[in-house]
Amino acid sequence: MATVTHQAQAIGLSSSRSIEAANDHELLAAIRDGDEAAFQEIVRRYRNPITNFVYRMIDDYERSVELAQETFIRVYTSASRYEANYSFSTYIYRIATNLAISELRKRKRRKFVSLFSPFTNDDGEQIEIDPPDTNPLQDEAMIETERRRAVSKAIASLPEKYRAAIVLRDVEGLSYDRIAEVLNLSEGTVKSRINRARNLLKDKLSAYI
Amino acid sequence: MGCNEIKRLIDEADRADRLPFDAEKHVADCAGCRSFAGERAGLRSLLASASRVSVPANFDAVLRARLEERTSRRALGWLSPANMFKLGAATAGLAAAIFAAQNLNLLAPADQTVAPAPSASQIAEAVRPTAPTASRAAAPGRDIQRVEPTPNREGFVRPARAQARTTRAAIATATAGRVVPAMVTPSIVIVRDQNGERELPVLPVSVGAQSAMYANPSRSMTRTVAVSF
Repeated sequence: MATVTHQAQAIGLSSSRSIEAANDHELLAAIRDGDEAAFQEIVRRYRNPITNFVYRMIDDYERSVELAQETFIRVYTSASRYEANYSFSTYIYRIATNLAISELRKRKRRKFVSLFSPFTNDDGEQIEIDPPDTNPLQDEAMIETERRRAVSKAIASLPEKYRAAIVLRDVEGLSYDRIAEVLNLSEGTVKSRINRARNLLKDKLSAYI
Repeated sequence: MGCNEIKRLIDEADRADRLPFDAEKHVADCAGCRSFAGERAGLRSLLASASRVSVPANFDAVLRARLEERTSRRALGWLSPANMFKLGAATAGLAAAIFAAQNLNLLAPADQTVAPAPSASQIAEAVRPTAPTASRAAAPGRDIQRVEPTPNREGFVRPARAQARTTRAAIATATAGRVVPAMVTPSIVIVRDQNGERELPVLPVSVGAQSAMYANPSRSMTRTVAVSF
């Protein structure tokens, strides 16, 4: 795993250099000095990817927006403690991953009971009764909607440790070494988890592959 | 290279449609691995094409509001209700601990030997009623009627000052040989009536306590009937 050390220094972004051209470390150094415009630029760059990532993890849009905002709040409030040993995207994805996993564990403890699925299997786990829809599909739009819903549902059904790895890899497109940094795992473990996640998803999405 | 190794290479490839050379060559000849490669490519394409969500229009505004609330909360964090509650609870606990320590005489110096307090009868035995001492100053605007001291059992009449010294010496004798902490040193109350002044023993009370006592000068005794704080 390549480690790049950056010497982040405050740069007069507003006068000598446009904010859009600054790299993430320069922006974070400016945030540390109280530059609001630099923080707005960081938010603009990462709000959609982070929100999308968290949404894929927890399958709840409104809550994923809240957690994405919490991610940026933590970036802002801990800017002085940030050490530029990793890329900033690794850093922000790590915060978002921890928040998403905490949310999943909190939900597991609360044991949300769906009004639509009060059934449990022999192991006491809640199962959804999803009777097949025998109506013929109307058009391509409905097919697409159904496919997306199935993908979201399949990802949401994965164990959290597999879910984070597969979303970062196949949805967000991060490399194995970056995923290893985000999840604080070895590359071998990351590859193993992605392989198992794909095997599970293959069974659930076989109709669409 | 076996099929398991090839499948591992297929799975770890950065792009599903671009396999390593060894894997490409094997897949061309192996139906099983070719099927696996196609399956993996379809799955990865399906996941990558999953619709991406975007933030709502008010995302930045809500984020700014939350950030302002968080930073102001951190600046006055010590004034939070939780911290105020903790401070109050700590103060109450400290006050309770001091009160308990006083009642249990735990605040006495550790190097002193704590002897049992003399009983009321011991104190009464050591202390004899005394005549009013001439050294006591008169209350403002009031003359002291000097009363001749009454003789004791042996018939001796001691001077007032000597009797006062006797009182204190008697107490010291009663507790001689025992180092008594200040908290349990017997106290004396002076009772003035038509017969003169008498020094009566009083059982020790806690610092800050107010005791209501019944005094019987003729019998040289007092009795604590109530204690309040």
